[in-house]
Amino acid sequence: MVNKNMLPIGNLPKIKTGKFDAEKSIFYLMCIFAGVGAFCFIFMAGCYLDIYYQLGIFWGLIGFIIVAGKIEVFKRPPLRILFILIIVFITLRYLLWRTFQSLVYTGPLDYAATILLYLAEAYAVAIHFFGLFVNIWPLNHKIVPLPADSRLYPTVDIFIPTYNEPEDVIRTTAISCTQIDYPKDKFNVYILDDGGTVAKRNHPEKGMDAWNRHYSLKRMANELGISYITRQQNAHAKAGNLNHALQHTSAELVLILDCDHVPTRDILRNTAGWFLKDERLFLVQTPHFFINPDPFEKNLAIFGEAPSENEMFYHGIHHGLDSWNASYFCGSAALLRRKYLMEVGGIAGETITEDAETTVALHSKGYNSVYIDRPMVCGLSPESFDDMLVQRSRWAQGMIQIFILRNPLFAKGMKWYQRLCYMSASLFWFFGFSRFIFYVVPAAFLLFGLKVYHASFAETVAYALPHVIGCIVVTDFLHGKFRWPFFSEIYESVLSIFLMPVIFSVIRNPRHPTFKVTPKGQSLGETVLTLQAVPFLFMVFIIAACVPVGIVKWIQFPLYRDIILITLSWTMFNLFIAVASLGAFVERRQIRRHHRMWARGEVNVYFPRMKCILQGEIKDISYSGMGVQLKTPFPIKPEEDVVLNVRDIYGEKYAFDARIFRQIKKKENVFCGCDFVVKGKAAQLRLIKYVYGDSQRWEDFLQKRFKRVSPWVIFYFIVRMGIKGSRDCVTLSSKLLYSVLKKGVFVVYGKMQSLWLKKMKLEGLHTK
Amino acid sequence: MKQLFLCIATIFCLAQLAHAAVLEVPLYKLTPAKSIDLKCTSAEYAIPLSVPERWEIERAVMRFQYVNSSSLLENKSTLVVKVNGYPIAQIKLSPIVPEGEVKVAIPAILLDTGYNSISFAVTQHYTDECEDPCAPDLWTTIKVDESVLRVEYRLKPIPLRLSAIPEFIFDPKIFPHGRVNFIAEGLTSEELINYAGIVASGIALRYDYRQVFFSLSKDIKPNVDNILLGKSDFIYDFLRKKGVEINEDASTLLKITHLPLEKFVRDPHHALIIITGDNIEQVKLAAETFAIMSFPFPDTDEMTPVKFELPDVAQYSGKHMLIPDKKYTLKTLNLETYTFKGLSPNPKEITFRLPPDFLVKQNQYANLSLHFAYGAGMRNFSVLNVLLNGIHIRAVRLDNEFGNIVEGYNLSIPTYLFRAGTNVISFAPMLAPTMISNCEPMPIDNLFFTIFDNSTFIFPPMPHLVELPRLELFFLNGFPFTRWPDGHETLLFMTQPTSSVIASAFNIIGSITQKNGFPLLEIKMGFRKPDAWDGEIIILGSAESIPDDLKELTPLKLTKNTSVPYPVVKSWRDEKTLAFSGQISDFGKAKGAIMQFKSPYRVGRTILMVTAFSPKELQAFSEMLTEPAVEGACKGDLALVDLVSAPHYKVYSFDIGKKYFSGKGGKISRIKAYIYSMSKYYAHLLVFIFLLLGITVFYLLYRFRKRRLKSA
Repeated sequence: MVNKNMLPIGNLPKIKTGKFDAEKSIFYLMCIFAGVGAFCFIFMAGCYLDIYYQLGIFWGLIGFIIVAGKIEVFKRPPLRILFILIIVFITLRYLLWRTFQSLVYTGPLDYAATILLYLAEAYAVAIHFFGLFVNIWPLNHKIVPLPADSRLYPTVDIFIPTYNEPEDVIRTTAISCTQIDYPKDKFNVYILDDGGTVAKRNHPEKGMDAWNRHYSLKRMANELGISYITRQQNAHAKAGNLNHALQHTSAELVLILDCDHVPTRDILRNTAGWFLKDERLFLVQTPHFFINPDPFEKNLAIFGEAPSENEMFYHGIHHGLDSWNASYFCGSAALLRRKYLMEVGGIAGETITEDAETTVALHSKGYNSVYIDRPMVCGLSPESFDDMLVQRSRWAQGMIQIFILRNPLFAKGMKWYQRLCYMSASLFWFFGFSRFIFYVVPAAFLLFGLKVYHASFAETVAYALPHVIGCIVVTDFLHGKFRWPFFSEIYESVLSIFLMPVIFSVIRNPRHPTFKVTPKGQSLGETVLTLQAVPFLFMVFIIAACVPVGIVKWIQFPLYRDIILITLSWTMFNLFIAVASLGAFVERRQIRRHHRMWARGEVNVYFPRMKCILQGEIKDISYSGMGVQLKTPFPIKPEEDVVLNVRDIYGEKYAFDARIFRQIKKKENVFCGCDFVVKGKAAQLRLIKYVYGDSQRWEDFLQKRFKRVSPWVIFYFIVRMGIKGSRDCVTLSSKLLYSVLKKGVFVVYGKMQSLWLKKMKLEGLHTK
Repeated sequence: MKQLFLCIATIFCLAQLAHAAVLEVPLYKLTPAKSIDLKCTSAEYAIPLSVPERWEIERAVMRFQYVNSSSLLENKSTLVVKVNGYPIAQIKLSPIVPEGEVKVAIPAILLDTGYNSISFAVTQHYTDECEDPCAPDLWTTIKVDESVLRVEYRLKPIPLRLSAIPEFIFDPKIFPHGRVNFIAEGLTSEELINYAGIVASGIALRYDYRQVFFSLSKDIKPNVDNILLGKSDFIYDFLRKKGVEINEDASTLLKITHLPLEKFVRDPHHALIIITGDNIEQVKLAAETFAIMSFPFPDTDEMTPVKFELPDVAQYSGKHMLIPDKKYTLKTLNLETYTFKGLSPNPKEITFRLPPDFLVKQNQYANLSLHFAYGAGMRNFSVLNVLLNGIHIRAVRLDNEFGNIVEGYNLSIPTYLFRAGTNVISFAPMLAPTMISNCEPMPIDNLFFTIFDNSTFIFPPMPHLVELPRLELFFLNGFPFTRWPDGHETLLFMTQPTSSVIASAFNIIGSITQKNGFPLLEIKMGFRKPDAWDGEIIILGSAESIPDDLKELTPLKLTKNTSVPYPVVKSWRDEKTLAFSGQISDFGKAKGAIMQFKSPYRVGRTILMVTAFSPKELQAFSEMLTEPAVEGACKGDLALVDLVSAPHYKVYSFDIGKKYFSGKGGKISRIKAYIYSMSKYYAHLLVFIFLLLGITVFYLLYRFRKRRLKSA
């Protein structure tokens, strides 16, 4: 007989017995050890060492980490922590040496330049330390399965905010949403149209376009059985659009998708389970996966060969952020709990990165976030360099706005480790400043004689070089699969000169920036040199000019050979990176609307003409077609009709009508490029379901790209990029120059002719 | 009767002494060069000769040897010997007899008291026609090592004025060295010996760089200047016995009198300086006052010091010591605006000292900002050579043929080119006229270079950290005993209370003072073993008298059962292989040892031990340690000097003991000292810290992660 007044044993209140709490004591002891260890660590980093000991010990450490970085066991704690501590020590020693021994006053201009360089370095070191902190022990959260009883599933509203994107882009996303594998009564899809608001429709000039858009999207929504929401004004851009929708909807969870982010069918099944497990969870973020190359990949022709730029963030850093409960909302492909969202007033709109700002507010409230590293949306990167600049400028502005207006370091309620993670994320965007300084500083010495770096050659080798190599090694160690060495330098170098003015404008007026939508789905008819190349080419010219000047100075000023050698080596590195980056400004021809993706799988190709089925292998896939490799016992006719029979990961069978428009024979095999022939809406739905519905396909593609390669391969790769890029750049810039000159000559000739005619007329010599 | 006889004998002796003294000086003692090469059509070389105030020169003769080029034209080539610019002899340089020895009598009237110059000037030609002014045929060499200057002089009577002390009695122009005797009778306590040390320091300072040897005697020592220091009761009694009248009412007294050899017998050519007071404090006051009497005042024969105040003394200050990060004009550094004229004018220098324990950073530069002007019509390869410690570091090209005034020409000199202690920056212009043919007269009046004294020099700040032991720093600057220039924090421990050991101590004090240019007013001297002394220590005594526990610390154990380092292979400089022989042996009479090692009482502090077989040898050794040749050869932590090797000193230097570090002001934390001096353990410590921190961070992260996984 159980007494009802008795509490179950598990719920008994804890009674303070004064008993020794071993775990707590060990914890406190460990804290003391860590404090003492940290003190000794800093003390040792600041100790004076004879230069030869310094060289021996620190090059020894570098040798150790190079070897350890190759050993798998060092990739996991506890040895991973030891590895990171060594790197921190090397850098800390360099920083202390820089601070206390190399800042020498030699004149106002010299000192100003010295301090600028020092600040840039200190910033880079801070980012480096933040990065190491974030990534010390990344966490890979697994998918939590939903319960068997679907009645327990939380309800979900899927928001597709749109502004000016093409209708077909929105349609694809909307169709995919309708096919999500989740009880139909548990989710609703909404197109949130900010391009067809009442204000837009009432615009005297662009009103007609807005009306057209409004009607067509509404029609599409009706057709697909989803909802269409628009509003009166376009206040607060995307944040305002989402908040408006939040007021008109009511589900427990909200899935936010950019309109070009086509979801896979399993997106809710893989994410919603976490909300049932953790009551205090407000966010499950998933990675953004892009089907097309970004402008760098496209222009440098490295798509598929080297990891993409965003992969380091989504597949490396975000795991680190997640381990510190600091995974943040990235604007799309994220599931949020409405209750908590409403508690902070919906999506924040003070800055133009509403996503991160909202997460800061929610983390400050003590709620949790989770990151699941499985690509479950397929999106489009900006197509052109200019579009990418728009996107990156917005990110930079927004994160700097957060740094200034909502500095995470002082945000109430946040844990110290979350503050550091947010500092890492927001501080990162000042990289334009430091990267620019690193570019121009050697030139400041070699061309203008400003003494900016007071170190002998021996000191550089003993202090600076181990730090630089340590940084490269640790980046490779932590993110080598997702980001090859020197690729960060290439991306950041190119972006730095364009982000510099943006950074300064935000610092000057933090509330000034406005939300600019990243253009998507653009195409380009011919390969051209973007005009943004002009300032970069000018900078490359300056850097290149430093080399002969440096050599002359080396001969002329024997006393300064140390510093000349240092700056010259630095210049050569800058030049190497700059030349490798030149190709990024060559905007390559882009006419394909649907990007083909690497894919693998079996396909049975039915040839109605021969009435036979041949087994083939899928090579690539897109919404418009599929690449298939076959062994054909008969010749294929041009533009031959076929039926492609395939099966998705869930075992569902599909049959698509297609036409072979291209065939390439490779020994016994024939590679066939097939275009889908979509007949009717049902076929379109099934096609989208097959092409975009399978998250495993994106996962496979990513895994194919995640590879470590030897430094020599990367070096070769970059040199190749440099040769190709500079060749294209020179060709296109000469063409551009020639056309400008030609145009100029004609203009001048025409002007001269008209003047001459005028003169003749005045003198009465002109007879006609 | 007996007394009368003694008096007559003494007077006779004195008369003999006063009659004339003869000094023969090899010329190489007066100039650093072993030979003087006079090249080109016209050249001159001057040898400085100092004549002390108390000498009255009667006769001087110089005998020198020369060799000239056999290509010279006899009728157009002449060697002229000048004294203070006045020609006293000229010799035709014959190609047929290209070698010769010349004996030149130098008129005594030409040799003034103070600094004189004896110069050799040549005009030499190899053809009557046009000639290359610097043809290789145009040379004459003076063999300095085979030349001698003989001076006969008489000592002047000492003026009985205290003002004679700094310039007349302790005259830096004295040659070859000064000698001063302390009367030991009055030194009845450690304190009084200490004050005598202060006096010795003051005397050494007056002698500037000139060697001075101290001695102690029970009574007055004839033929040298004597110092009588002690309490007044003893002094008055002593003087009464010598028949010297004294103002016994004065509580503190500084007095000068002619040296009383016997009652009523005085040596007017030497002085007895009396430093006394009624009590210890007053003696100290008198001694300190004496030590700082740096200019001729007062003109009375005695004074009563009543008060003594020193300005605040800063660490690392002293004579010519440069303060880092302070901008000095050349005028401040004793180089006034100067115009160099001619083809190859004599260089000008600035001399300064740097603290020996500067941790010279590789990446710092001293800045020399020059303001200068130069003449028109010079060839564009005329240059101003800038030398640092004799090493060419820069040539500033004077390439404007219309002449120029340049302001703020900046020279950045890497700091690692400077050395601890004394540094010299020299400016040596080489001025060339515009291209002319050999037959044309060479215009040289336009060849000038003026350096303005508002040019500046700045040395960057640097931390104080030095690896010791380094005897060379002691001989450069008296380091580490001169961190405080007045010897503060230094204890001089004499192991035996004998006159020779005390005299040795005075010699060492004198030597340190001369190097640092500041009287050691704060140095402590004593006979008690310095247990737990917080500062630097100097130990003086015969080998057997040194306490055993201190012997154990020395690089060369002076115990009977000792371990002696023998170089096996001597390779490059500083690279040698040492074998250690354990043996039962003795120190021997012919050697003196100077050793430096870590103080057992305080981290970062140093002990300097100077020892020899007996006190007598120790005194000889302490005098020998002031010889430049010995000073230059002592390095590392152990130097053994052969006491019978003069004038060709044999010095054996080793670096065999443990290294240690010393920081600013001699202070360094135990941990830092350990890490710095045990750099090899730095790596071990680092591994330990990595492991400690790694394990604790792992534990804390693991705990955090467990919680995180529990929540989300």
